[in-house]
Amino acid sequence: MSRHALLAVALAVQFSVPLLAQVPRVTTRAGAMRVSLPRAVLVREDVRRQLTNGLTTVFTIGVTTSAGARRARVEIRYELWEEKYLAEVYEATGRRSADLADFERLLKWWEQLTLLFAGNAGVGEADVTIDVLPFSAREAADVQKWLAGSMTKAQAASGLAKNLPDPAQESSNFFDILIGTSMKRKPIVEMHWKVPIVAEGR
Amino acid sequence: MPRWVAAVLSATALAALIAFGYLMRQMSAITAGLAAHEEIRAALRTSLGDQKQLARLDPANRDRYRTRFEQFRTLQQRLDVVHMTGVQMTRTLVYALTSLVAVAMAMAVGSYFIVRRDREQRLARIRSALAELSTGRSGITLDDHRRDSIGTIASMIEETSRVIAGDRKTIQYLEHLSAWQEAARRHAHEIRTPLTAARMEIEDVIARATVLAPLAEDEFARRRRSIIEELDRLRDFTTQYTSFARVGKPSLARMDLRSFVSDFCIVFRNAWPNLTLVSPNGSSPCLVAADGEMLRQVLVNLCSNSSLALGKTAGAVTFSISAHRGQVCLDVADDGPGVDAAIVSRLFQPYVTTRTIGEGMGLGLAISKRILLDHGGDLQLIDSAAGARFRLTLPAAANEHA
Repeated sequence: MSRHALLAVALAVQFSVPLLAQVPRVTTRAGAMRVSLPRAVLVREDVRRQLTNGLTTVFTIGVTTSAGARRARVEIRYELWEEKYLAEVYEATGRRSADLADFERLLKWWEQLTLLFAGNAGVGEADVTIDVLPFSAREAADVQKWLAGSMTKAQAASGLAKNLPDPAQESSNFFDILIGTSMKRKPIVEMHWKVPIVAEGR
Repeated sequence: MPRWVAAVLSATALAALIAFGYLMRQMSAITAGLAAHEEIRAALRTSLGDQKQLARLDPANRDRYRTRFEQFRTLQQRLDVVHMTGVQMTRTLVYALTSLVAVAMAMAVGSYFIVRRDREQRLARIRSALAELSTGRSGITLDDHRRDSIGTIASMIEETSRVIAGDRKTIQYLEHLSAWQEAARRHAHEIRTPLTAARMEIEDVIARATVLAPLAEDEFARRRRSIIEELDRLRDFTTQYTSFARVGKPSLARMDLRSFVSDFCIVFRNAWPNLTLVSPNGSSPCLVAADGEMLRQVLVNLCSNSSLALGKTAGAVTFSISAHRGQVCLDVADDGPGVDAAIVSRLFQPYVTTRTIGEGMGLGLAISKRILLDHGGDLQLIDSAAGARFRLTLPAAANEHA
């Protein structure tokens, strides 16, 4: 091969890899759909900052094809004491988890991650969305209960409330419902792609 | 209310609502800001680092530092979530509370207009009823019995209308009765004079005839007795006319009606062989102001009517007393055949009777009703399942010791 050809191939590889890393990959094989996630999601500055604050960052992945819409979820939390990343994947086959010592390992794990969706992907293109939520539903419920308990204790201290509910139990008063309905997890990042569905060999 | 006043009130309410929403928003923002203040969160982050450092330096108490670390971490995460959602929560809280206040204000305004409209309608009905009352109309009904001042006025109008209707009926009856009494007085006068003259002439004729024909003395005596009997019957008839025409005014005295009726039952227990008189129950006195003689006349008349109605059948007349709203009611009930339905509507008019000619002129009930009306009360026939029931109503006398 000539030097020019070799240079052309090298340049193509160098640019295509980053390009491939920017979009998800949807493949179908043996009646199941697999989705690989782009590293571009994780290397964003706002996402990387969110990953290190100790809250559970939730990545909700939605895939819509001619065969229907399906969802999966990846939760990543930085364990502040042990200084490592704890990742959990929720997909069609169930749940799996991983412990990663640093961000580089996390990135590598992310790139190698393939989400499995049951059922055929259909043909044509797939709409892939990734929403990055700043905290998990469990953490939101915990804060809701904590705020409700704080209000109850404040009422008790001021002597306003009689028959105080047990702070450990879920309160159904007006403010509790108000907090619950207003504490919506607004995505910090929303990404959307339209990618071709690739049928892989059997 | 003038339109400009309503406009000012509405503008004030709207301004108050906007001010409320603004203040709520400011207060909620301050509260949320305090809860997730950056200095507090930074201090917590520093504390987390401190606990890890302490754990490294003092491994023997690592668990204790770990526990404290987790507490700080949990608190920091909660404050981070509040920091992220504070604006959302503030907005929702402000919208919810402002909406509640707006709904409360709208309901208050709506209620005011509904109540006002209802009051205006009720007042319009009151005005209409008062106009009818002023024209002398009776039988007015308003069907407004709510426990407020308008309901009280409506009840008073209805009561006044009933009293007017009752008074008007009484006045009509008394006028009618007066006309009958005047006619009876004139008839009695016209009959009495020639009656007396005829009696004297007959005595004179018989005396002269006996002198002229001494052999027919027995025949003359027999004819004299026959003529005098008829003249006496005519005289009795005139006497009834006279007593009807001269119903006197009652001489009122304070009396206990219950003991009066009980005494009557004892004194007159054998006056009507086919009647048993049943005294009223109870022992508490019922004080009325009445003319005992006239009252007795009424009771005798009622018992006589019962006895005649029963005929050969034995029966009872039961007396019962009740008091209600300043009046005392004495019910006289028998177990006879009752009053003929054909004459019920005219029962208290003079000369109304179901008896045959010669058995009474039908003046007893008219005289009895006149007596009760002159006492400030009344005499009525009350609906009864069996027999006849009459109700004497008398004003209650005030208690001496009250």
